[in-house]
Order: sequence, then C-alpha cells, then structure tokens
Amino acid sequence: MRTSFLHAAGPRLGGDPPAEGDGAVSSSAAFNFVVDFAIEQRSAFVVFSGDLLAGADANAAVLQLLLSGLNRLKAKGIEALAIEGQAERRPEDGGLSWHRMLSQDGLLSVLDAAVSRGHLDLPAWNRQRAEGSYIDLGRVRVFGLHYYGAMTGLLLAELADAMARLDNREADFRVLLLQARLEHFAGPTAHHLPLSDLLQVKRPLHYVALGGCDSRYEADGWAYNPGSQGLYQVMVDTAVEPRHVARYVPYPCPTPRRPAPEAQLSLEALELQLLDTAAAAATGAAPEHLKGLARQLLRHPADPSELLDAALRATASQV
Amino acid sequence: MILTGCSIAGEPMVALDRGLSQLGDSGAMLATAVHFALFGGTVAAPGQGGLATLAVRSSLDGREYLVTRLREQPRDWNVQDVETGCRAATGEELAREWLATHLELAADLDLSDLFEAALTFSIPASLAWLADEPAVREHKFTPLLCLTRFPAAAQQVREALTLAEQRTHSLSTRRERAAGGVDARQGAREEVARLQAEEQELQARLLAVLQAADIAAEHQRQAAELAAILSDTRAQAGAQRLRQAALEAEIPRLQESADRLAQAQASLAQSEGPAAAHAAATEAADRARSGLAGLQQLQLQHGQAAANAALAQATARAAEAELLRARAAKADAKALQEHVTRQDTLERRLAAATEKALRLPLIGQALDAQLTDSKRVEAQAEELERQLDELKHFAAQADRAAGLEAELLGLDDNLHDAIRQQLQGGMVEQAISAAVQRVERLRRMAGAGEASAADTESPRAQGPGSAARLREVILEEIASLDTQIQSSNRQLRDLSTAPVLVGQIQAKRRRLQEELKATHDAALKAAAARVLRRLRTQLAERLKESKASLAELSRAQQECAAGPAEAADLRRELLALGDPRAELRLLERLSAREPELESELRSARRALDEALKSQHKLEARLAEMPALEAALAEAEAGRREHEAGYVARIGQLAIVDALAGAPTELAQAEAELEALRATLAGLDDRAANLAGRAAEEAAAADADTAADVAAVKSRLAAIGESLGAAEAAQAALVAAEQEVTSLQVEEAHLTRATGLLEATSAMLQQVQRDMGGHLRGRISATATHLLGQLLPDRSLVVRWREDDAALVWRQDQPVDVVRLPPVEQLCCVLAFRLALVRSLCNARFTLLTHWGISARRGSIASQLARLTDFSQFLVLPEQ
Repeated sequence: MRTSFLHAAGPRLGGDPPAEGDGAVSSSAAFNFVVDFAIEQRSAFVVFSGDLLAGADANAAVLQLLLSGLNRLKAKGIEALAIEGQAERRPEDGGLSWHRMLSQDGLLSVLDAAVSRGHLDLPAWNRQRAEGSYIDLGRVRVFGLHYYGAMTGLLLAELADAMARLDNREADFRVLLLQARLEHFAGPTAHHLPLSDLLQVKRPLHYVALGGCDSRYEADGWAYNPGSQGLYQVMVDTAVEPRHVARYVPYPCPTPRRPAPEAQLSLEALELQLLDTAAAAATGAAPEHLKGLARQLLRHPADPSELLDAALRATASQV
Repeated sequence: MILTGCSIAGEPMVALDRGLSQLGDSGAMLATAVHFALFGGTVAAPGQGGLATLAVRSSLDGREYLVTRLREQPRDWNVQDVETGCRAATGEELAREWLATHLELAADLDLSDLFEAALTFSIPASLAWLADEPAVREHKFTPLLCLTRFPAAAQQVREALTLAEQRTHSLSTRRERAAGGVDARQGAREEVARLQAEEQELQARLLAVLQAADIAAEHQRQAAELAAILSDTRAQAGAQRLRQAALEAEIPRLQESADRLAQAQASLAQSEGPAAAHAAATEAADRARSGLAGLQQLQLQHGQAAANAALAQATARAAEAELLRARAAKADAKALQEHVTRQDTLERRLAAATEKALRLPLIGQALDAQLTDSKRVEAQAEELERQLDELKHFAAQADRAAGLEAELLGLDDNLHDAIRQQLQGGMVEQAISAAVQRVERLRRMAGAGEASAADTESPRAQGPGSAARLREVILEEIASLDTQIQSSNRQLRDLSTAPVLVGQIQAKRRRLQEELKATHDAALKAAAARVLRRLRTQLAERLKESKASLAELSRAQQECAAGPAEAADLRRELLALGDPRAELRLLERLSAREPELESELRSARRALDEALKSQHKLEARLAEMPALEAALAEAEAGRREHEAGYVARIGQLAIVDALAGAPTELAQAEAELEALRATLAGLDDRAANLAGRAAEEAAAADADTAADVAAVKSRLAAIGESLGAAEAAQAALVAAEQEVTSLQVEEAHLTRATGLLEATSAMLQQVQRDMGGHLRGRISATATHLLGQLLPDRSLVVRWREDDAALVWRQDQPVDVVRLPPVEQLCCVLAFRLALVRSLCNARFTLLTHWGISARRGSIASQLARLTDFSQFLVLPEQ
C-alpha cells in the first residue's frame, strides 16, 4: 500500500500579534500553504495535531479562511483530520466548539477517544454523528486524542490496551494525533510527556503526529513534531521498511509562536549556576570536586566522618 | 494554580471566584481545608473524618483537578482529573509530589511552610515587617528563600575540618614511630648480601658433585638394560626348544599321510571308465527332463487359451444384448422430449407464481412501514418549519447586536461624564461649605475687631495695622468669598442634575445590557437555524424518496395479487403430467452407452479370435511329448548300471583332495627342525656374551659420589637458615619503610582534603551571598513591577538589599512605609508579598487573614483587578 499525507501542528489561526495587521496574516498564509501543498502533492489526507486555531473564540475572518481552505480540500477529496489543542478546548461551558461545527459540516474529522471514569474507549468514526476516536482511510488508520495535559501519560497506557483490543488487521499503517511536549525533545517547558510513556503505544503505531511545541523535533524515527514553522510530508509504502519517510517542508513565511514563558530560573537552577561560577573562580581545588561536594552538602546532610571521606575520595581521584 | 471550588465534609462544592473575595463565617474553615488538602496541614476540617475536597486549575497544564484528603489517612489523599475521572495521584507521597510539581515548588521548601509563611499573611503584620529592622526582616524571610541550608552546610564542613585535624595529628605520630623502626634495621641488607654470595658459591660446588653422580647413574642404567636383554635371549631359546620337540613328534604322522596318498592315486586310474559312462547317462536324463518341463508349461498355456476363448464368447453375447437395449432407449427418448419441455415450462411458471405469493405479505408490511415513516417525516418537517418560523425573528434580533454594542459604548462615555459631574458637584458643595464656614469665622473676627476699635481711641489704633484696617480687610475677604459662594452656587445648580442623569444612564445601560444579552442569545439561536435548514433539506429529500418507494411498492403488490391461485393450478397440471424428465434422464443414460457397447463387442470378438489361434499353435507343439518320455526312461537305466564304479571313484578322489599337501608339509617340517637347531646354538652364545658385559657395567657404577653431595647440601641448608633470618630482618625494614611512605601519602591526601573542605566552605559562603542577592533582586523587580500595575504613581520602587534598612524607595530616597497613605501602604505590602510568592511557586492565590488598613476595599478591588498575574485574593473574616 502506498500513500502520502501531510502533518501540521498549527498554524494557530488568529494568533498573530495585532501589530502585524488584521490578526490573521502570517497564520493564514501558512494555512493556505498547507492546503495548496496538499492539493499540489495530491496527498491522501492532512492531519492537524492541535492548534489549528489560536483559541476557542475565533473571529469571523478566521472562520471564513478556515471554511474556504477546508472546502477546497474537500472538493479535491482530501480528508482533513484534527484534534483539539489546549487553547482550542472549551472546558468551562462544554458548548459547541468551532471544531465540532466543522466536523458536523463534514469538513474536518475531529478525533477524540471516549474517556469516562478513567476508562478509555475507542469508537470508530461515525459520519452521521461526526465523532469517533479513529478513522480508516483506505488501509491507513488514524487515531486521535485531544489535549490532556499532565494526564496524557496515564491515558496512553489505557490507549495501548484499547488499541490492542481493536481488530487492526486491515490497517497496514497506523497514526496517532497527540498534543504533548515530549521529554528530552521539546526544550525547557512546564510539563513534559515522558518518552517512556509514549513508548507504550510504540507497538501498535507506525507514526505519532505530535503538536504543542513550536520547535521541530523527531523522536526515534517514529514520533514527529513539525513545530510552528513548517510541516511534514509523509510518504508511506508498507511493502518496505521503514514503512514511511517524513520530509520536513518549511512554511514560506514565519507564523505566530505561542507566548514564550517568562524566563525565570528555578531556585535549583539558580543555585547550580551560582555554584558553577563560584567553583570556576575558586583556587586550590578542582572545580568539579568543589561543586560535587557543595551539592552533596546542600542536598543530603552528612556526618563529619562521611564528609571527610567524600573529600578524601575526591582528592584521591585527583591524584 | 488557582482555586475554583471547595467542599468540606461532603457538603456541596462552593465555587471560588477570581478577584478579591470576602469570605463569610466559613472562611476560617475554608483556610483550614486548603491548608489540609493542598499543603499537607495537620489540622483537618471538622466532620466526616476531616474530608476536604479542593477544585483547582493547574497553571502547569491548564486542567481542572480535584484534590481530596481525609484526616490522617496517608492513602486517602488523592488527586483526580475532572474531565477524565482518572486518578492523577493516590497516597500521600504521590499527592505531595503531584502538588509540588504542579505548584512548581522549589525542591527544599515544605508545602506546609509555603502555605503558612508565604500564601497566608496579614496586611498589618506584613507592613510591620517591611518597616522593621533589616536583621528581623532577614530572620523572617531567609528560611523562605531556602538559604538556611548554607549555614548548616558550612557547620558540617567545620566539623569535618576538626576531624581532619585530629586524623592528621594521629598520622604524624604513627609516621615518626615507623621512622624509628627503619633506623634500627639498617644493617639487615648487608648481612643478606654476604649470605647470598656464600650461597651462590655452594650452589656451584653442589652442581659439580651432582654431575659426577649423574655419570655413575648412567652406567648403572646400562647394566640394567643388558641384564634385561639377557633375560629376553634366554626366554627366546626356551621357546625354540619347545618348537623343536613339537616338530620331532609331527614328522612320523606326516610320513603316514604321504603313503596313503600314493595308494589312492593308484586306485583312481582303475575307476575312470565306469565313471565316464555314468556321467553320459546322467546328462541324457537331464536333457529329457528339461524338454518334458517345457511341454508341461505349454500344456498349461493351452488350458488358459481355451478359457479365454470361452470368456470372450460370453462377453460378446452380453454386449450384443445391451446394444440392442440402448438402441431401443434412444428411440423412446425422442418420443418423451415433448413432455419434458412442457414440464419445464410449467415448473418455471410455478416458481414465479410461488415467489409472487411469498412476496405479497412482505410487500404489505413494507408498505405499512413506509407509510408510517412517511407520516413521521412529514410531522418532523412540519415541526421543523414551525421552529424555523420561530427562529426567523431571532436573526433580525441578532443583527441588532452591533448597534446595541455601539449604543452601550456611547452610554458608557455619557455615564463617565455624568459621574465626573456628580463628583465635581460634591467637590463644589464641599468648597461652598468651607467658604461659608470661613465667611462666618471672618464675620466673627470682624465683629470682635469692631468692639476692640470702639474701646481704644488712641492714635496708634488708627494706624495702618489698626483693628479698623483689619476689619476692612476682613470685610473685603468676606465680600470676595460671597462672590465665590454665589459663583459656586450657580455651578452647583448647573451640576445638580448629574446624580439624576447618572441614575437614568445606569438604568438605560442595564436595560441595554439585558437587551444585548438577549441579542447574543438570539444570535446563538440564529446560528442553530442554519443547522435546522440543512436538516429540513435532508427531510425533504427523505420524504421524496419515501413517496417514490411507496409507488414502487403498490405496483409490486398489484403484480403479485394473482400469484397464489396461479400456483395452485400449475401444481395440479404438473401432478397430472407425472415426471417425464426423470424418465427421459433414464433413457438418455441407457442410449448414451451405445458407442461404448459397440466398442466392447468389437474387443470381445478380437479376443476370441486370438484365443482360438493360440490354442491351435499349442496343440501342434504338445505332439512331441511321448518321444521325450521314452528317452528319459532309457537314460535312467544306464545311470543305475554304472553307479557302483562311480561311487568308488568319488571316495578315492576325496582321499586325494584331503592328503594332497602331506608330502610338502613333511619336507617343510624337516627343514624347520634343522633351522631351529642352528638358532638355538646362536642364542646360547649371545646369552653368555651379555652376561659378561652386564657384570662389567655394574662394576663401573660402584664409584661413591653420595658423600660429597650430602656434605654440600648440609652446608647449603645452614647458609639457607642464616639467609632466612637475614631476609626476615630485611622484610621488616622494607615494611617499616613502606609504612612511613604510606603514612606520608595519607597525610598528603588529608592535607588536600582539608584544602578542598576549606575551599568548599568559602565557596558556600560566597554562593549564599550571591543567591541571597539574586533572589532579593528578583523579588524586588517583581514587586516593583506589581506596584506599577497597582498604583498610577510609578516613582515608588521596591529595593530589597541585605544591608539596607528601607525596602521602598522613591527617586533613590528611602521611604518610610508607615508614613505612606493607606492605599500606597497596602499596595506596597501586597506587591512585596505577591512577589515573594511568585519567586517560590506558581500559586496564584493568597489568603489574607487581616485587612487592617483603612483603605476602602471597593477601590482596592478595582486596583487588584489590574494585576495580570495574580487572580485570587481570599479575605478571611477577622477574629
């Protein structure tokens, strides 16, 4: 089976800084690029792993742009799939979201698992009700989970079990849409998804389409985050190994980044930085020994004999 | 993290809003619950086992969680994700870890300490700290900055240094003692060298003695080898003698066998004639027997051929009969064909009629279902139309939203103007009141001045500073104030309509807001109309399809109506016709065999011809059989006549075969006997020679070297003992030297470790100073930023330095916080405390225990709303 699809994480329509114009300049260009590129490359489908919109309350101009692009894709028979990102969800009122409306109009398949009382279920996509957790496009099966924050890791274990219960024999290539910042890859952010948690779904999946982080990264040739400045074009051929090749395509124009968190070092990081500086400036002892001993003292109080032994060990290794 | 709700002892969840909230009587209980459930407090809320549930929104991932804790039950402290219902953390350890992570708490700060010392505070107490001595302030806040670890670490280093000093002293004592031992054993090395030289000399001597002993041992070995060879030679001679005796006994027996062989060879020549005649007769009998066996085989083949011929004849007759039956069946089948065609037609018609009869009730059911569905769709469509009609006016209403918003904005401007006028009126009123009071005071002064002027008629009283002059001035001032009062009264009259206007505008504004809300609701409903219209289109299509389906079903019902009667007629007709198709199939099977039977008949006739021919041939050959039987009888008679001679010859031939080798064996035995006699003589000579040589070698090995070897070895043993003692003394010397070296190395290590500890101590002090400076700077910057958001006056700055007495500065001048206006005092306290919280965690709520400052909370609430970061201030009831 051979096919190809596009994977975008964004483009945060409506999230451009007001100074740059009417609120939808750069992001609209990026979105139009995704649509044009999908049509030009004859992609089978396009996935948006969160942050299609910058917030839950998009204005009319943004909605018009979105409708236009999705209608163009539909006219060419290209499916558009998405999950709801952190900013797009409306937890307060639980009312009709833009995503839900587009889904009911048959323009965007918004995927999400059914989670209730800690139990996760994976219903197939129902076109009449316009909801479901996975959709089969030929022999490609695409799963989706909306933003679950710190709960993502816990739910991935449930997801792996639920996937194992499905009959996946007809699905030669399986994709998961997920918004999470992956540990070790996504840079210093407030909350990470541990890589070990993501690896729980490694067996049943061939491609994890990540979102939620502005920087691009690729983990293990299997999980990809295109970031805010480009997309991945994924060519699938299940007759060879590896079954896919992901090519990064940058947008022709810069797109809005999410507001950067205030750069404030944690107390631990500050302490470490100051210890580094003081150790480098000290004379009469190796900086690494000084730093190691000081950190040991600050973290774990020891009796004098243990401390002296530690100092002796450090200087012995120096000899 | 902010709080969104709280439930105590299983009561319904109470929502907690953003902004400034004055908590009622249950505020203290809420504070206890927050402390208990979120920060690990030990005092639980009363009732239901101290059950407290807090709903929070995490700043880390923006999700809502429920934190629930029961009193003193470590495992009954858990965190649950509201959306999924999943447990995010269960048990005290995991719950604490979860809270520390989501509060982004510094690793060394305790949750309970954070709550008590940072998140909960009293405004007056905090104000007192801000104004307090730097030492007191530092004592209060240093633990929160996690700086107390540094002095503790420095103390540990000092204790380790004391221990290092003690160990150094102990090591130097041991080293001096070991050095004394080295000096005492200095002569051991020379003694070992002397003894080693002597030992080498003795070793050389021992080597020479041992070489001589080796030569003697070689002779001894050769003598032993010669003795062994002698023994072997003697054994060989014994064996040869035994063989000689055996041969001497064998030779007479071999001579007798040779004699018997000569006699048998003579008898063989006489019996040669009878044996030849016997052989010829036997050969003739065998030939006759072979010919008779071949003829018996032919006799069997003749019988087989006769049987084959009979079988072929029977087969041909049966095939001829079957062929006749097949030809008759072929003719009958042609006659039946017409009946079969009729049967097919009738059956097809019966199938169609039966299908119609079966479909008839199904079509009826489908018609009923379709009619019901069609009616339901029509009802839905009507209901939809009604809803759409209802929603039509909402669309028009929704269009008014923009106009209403613009009108509301205009009203807001008007309201601000009216409020400003109202405030201005109040100020004018106060000004008039003050002016009237001043006029009255001046009038009293003027009255007093007049009385004074009447009492003093002196010339001095008439001067420029006199009371009269003062009265004039006062009167002028009164006049001026009267003018001002009149002007203000006019202005007040102009502004008197402002409160009424404010009330009117506010009423209109409320009405407009309600209207706008209704418009927004209408817009939402109008949006629903689009979905309904799409549904209406779908319903119309469905109705159309339903009608088409109804028409189709009616037509099918009419077609199927005659089905049952037609089926009954056709069944009767078929019964009358019977089953000609089965008969035809039988006849066709019979006629189909005709070619096969013809072929079978031809084969049977060919087989009969061949069997008859074979039979004739065999009968011709069997005619030779009597002649062969006569020849056999004649040969048997001749054989019996020469049988005795033949048997005697066979016996002689057996004797000749058995004893043919006897003369040769006899000659060989005699020759071997002669050779044995010669060998025995040689072996006896060799044995005598070897015995002589062995005696010579034994004599050569008798030389005495053992005494020399023993003497040298004894001397060597004595030297070895002396050398062992000397080497032990030398080893002790080396060990003492090594101990001294080892102690020196250990002392050096200890010195380096001491250096490292001293450097670490100095570094810790440096890092403590730097870190304190950084944190104070960070808190100062945040507090100044917050102060800028709270107060329009940007000149106030928070600057917290260890050595400065003041915390608040204005244009580089220290400001006494206590002397600031109440609102500024409050803002300074809040800015400082919030900055402190922000440097420690991401909690965005605080609990204020005492308000204590006379600033109005209403105005403060609007100022707090300007803070972009902190969103929740819970004010506890004052006790």
